[in-house]
Amino acid sequence: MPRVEGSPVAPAAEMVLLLAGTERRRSEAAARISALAAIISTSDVADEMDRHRSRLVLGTRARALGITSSSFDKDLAKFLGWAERRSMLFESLTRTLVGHLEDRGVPALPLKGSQLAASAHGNAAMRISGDIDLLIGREHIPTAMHLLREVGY
Amino acid sequence: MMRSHKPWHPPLEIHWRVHWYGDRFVERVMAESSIGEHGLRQASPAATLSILLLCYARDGFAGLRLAIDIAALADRMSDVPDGSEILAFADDDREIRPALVAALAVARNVVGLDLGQSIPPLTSREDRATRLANWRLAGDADQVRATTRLVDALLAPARSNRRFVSSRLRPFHSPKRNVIYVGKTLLRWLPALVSVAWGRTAYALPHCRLTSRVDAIDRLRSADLGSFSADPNLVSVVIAVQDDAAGLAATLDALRAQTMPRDRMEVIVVDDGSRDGSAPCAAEREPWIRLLRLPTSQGSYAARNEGLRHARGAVIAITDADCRPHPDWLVRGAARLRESPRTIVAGHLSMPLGPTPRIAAMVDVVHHLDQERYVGKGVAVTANLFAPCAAFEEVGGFNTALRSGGDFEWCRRARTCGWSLVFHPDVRTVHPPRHSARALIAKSKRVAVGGRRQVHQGLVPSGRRPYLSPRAVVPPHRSRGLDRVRANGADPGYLRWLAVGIGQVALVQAPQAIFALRADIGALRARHQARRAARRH
Repeated sequence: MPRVEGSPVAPAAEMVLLLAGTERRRSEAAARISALAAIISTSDVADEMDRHRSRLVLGTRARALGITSSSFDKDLAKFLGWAERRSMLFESLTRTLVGHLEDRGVPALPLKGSQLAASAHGNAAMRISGDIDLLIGREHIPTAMHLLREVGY
Repeated sequence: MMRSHKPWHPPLEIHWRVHWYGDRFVERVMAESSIGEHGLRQASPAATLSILLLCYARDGFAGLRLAIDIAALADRMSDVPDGSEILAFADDDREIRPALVAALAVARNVVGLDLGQSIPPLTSREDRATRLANWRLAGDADQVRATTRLVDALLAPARSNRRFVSSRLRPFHSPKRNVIYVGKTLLRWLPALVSVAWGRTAYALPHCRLTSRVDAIDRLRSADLGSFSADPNLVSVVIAVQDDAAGLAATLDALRAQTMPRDRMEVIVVDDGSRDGSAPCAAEREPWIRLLRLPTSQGSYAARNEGLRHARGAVIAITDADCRPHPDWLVRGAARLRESPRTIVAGHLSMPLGPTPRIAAMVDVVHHLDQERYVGKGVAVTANLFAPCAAFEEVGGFNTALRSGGDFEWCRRARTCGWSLVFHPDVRTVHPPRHSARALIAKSKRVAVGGRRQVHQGLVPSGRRPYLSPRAVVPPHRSRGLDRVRANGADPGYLRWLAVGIGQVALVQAPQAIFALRADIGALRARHQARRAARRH
């Protein structure tokens, strides 16, 4: 049974940990996940998912396993709609910023954010971001800061 | 009125993480990046994973979010990079490499990320960082607070903290925000600054506290209880007794009335050096009871350990000599225990008061043996506790150096080893309340000294010092405990409840503060004397 070694993990936390694992770990732990689902309330699991800001990813996985309640699924669909709108906004901002930087000869690599969500989870909305992370070389920092001020930051 | 609308932008923060990522790291990531199909630059799979792992380490493995991304990304990669490819990005950097190694280990542990066998074994510092990650995920706030405001410092090499701290000071456009941020950062990283000033010796300070706890737990875990020859159909009841013939007789009466068949239970009574000789007599009369005797009094925890050494059942039930378990106590406790693996069951304890109880009895009910509240805090008392023998094999026996609080300590140790503690109200036992002020003060003394001794032994990273708390003299909120008193059959009027409030201060809170202070002074004195002796030597 996969458990976090040396951790006194509560059932809801254990459920979230198991759902968080790789595909292989999840398939190994399928029976345990079902057993936990029978004894934990969906709201406890949802709270635990929210604690890790991962309700969309983990909730989708839980829904695929058929262990969620209908109200949870309804909330999840609503949440996903909101996240899709938000990710579109962040994606367009990222594109604009990177475009500006590349025009000035500053190579900028978006880190995490919706690009990661798209490649890791197959949907750019699966990861809620509060910021845009860009990796640029140290030598380009003054140019980048100047440019960002110019565009209104 | 017209309102001017400024276009919305996410907040801008420039993180000077060149130190964390390293110039060569950034250069290499950029060199291996390409323009993706969406027109945005994207890093190679190995670079992406190494960036995410670094971010995970930088955040102190504080949440699951990045670990989920890392696992999901690795799942979707057709050609998953090997651990050595990830570590190649570190380029033997003194900070990036240990951070990546620790992050790989944590991700492997937490989400099952498997990047081959090429990940080097963890150094002690990296190992500490992985333990920290587990504690964080488990929500063990005490452990985290005590050990690692400085997970980054654990990963960073000694004497390099100056650069590390300076890298965290971020410039803002507003001078006021700069001042606030720098002040907050300085406070947060004070231990790192101390370590910069004092060099390697002081740098080891947070480690010492962590190491001492881990060592103490390992020492207790290795305490030999012998090998359990567990009979899966047998429940062993362990009772420690000292000079309490009447209490033991009541407990044995209750055990005699158990609904569990006699051939499926064994009762082990351990006489902790009783001086009146009456307790063993009560047990000796019953042939189905095994009586063990300690020649001298070694404390209730040593007595319970002795009972555990002789237990033959796969399920161990522990109760006190004056408890009266409900007839279905053993059946329900054993059933609950078998419901889920790696679980310890704590049952309900009622303390019947009667219609006109004494003030001391009500104070006892308010303050002690509230098993449900205890389990909420991750501990339980042994007056009503069920555990598989495998738990004792793995976790070790009770800490015999303690006279009180050993049950709490054992539960914490068990939880640290991955066992869950669950409260079940239907596993019921009756515990008579203490009726005299003297008994309550003696209990307060045991609790205070036991609690402080756990801190002195390094088993609890930071203990509450009752003498520094206003609770020592201020009565608790008047409604606290009233429900429990009512649930136990008493309904005190306003004046009697007022007296209970005063009684709580006089019989529990103030004595605990005084005895805790005395224990701390004694420990300081002993430490001072040991140091002087070592110096002389």
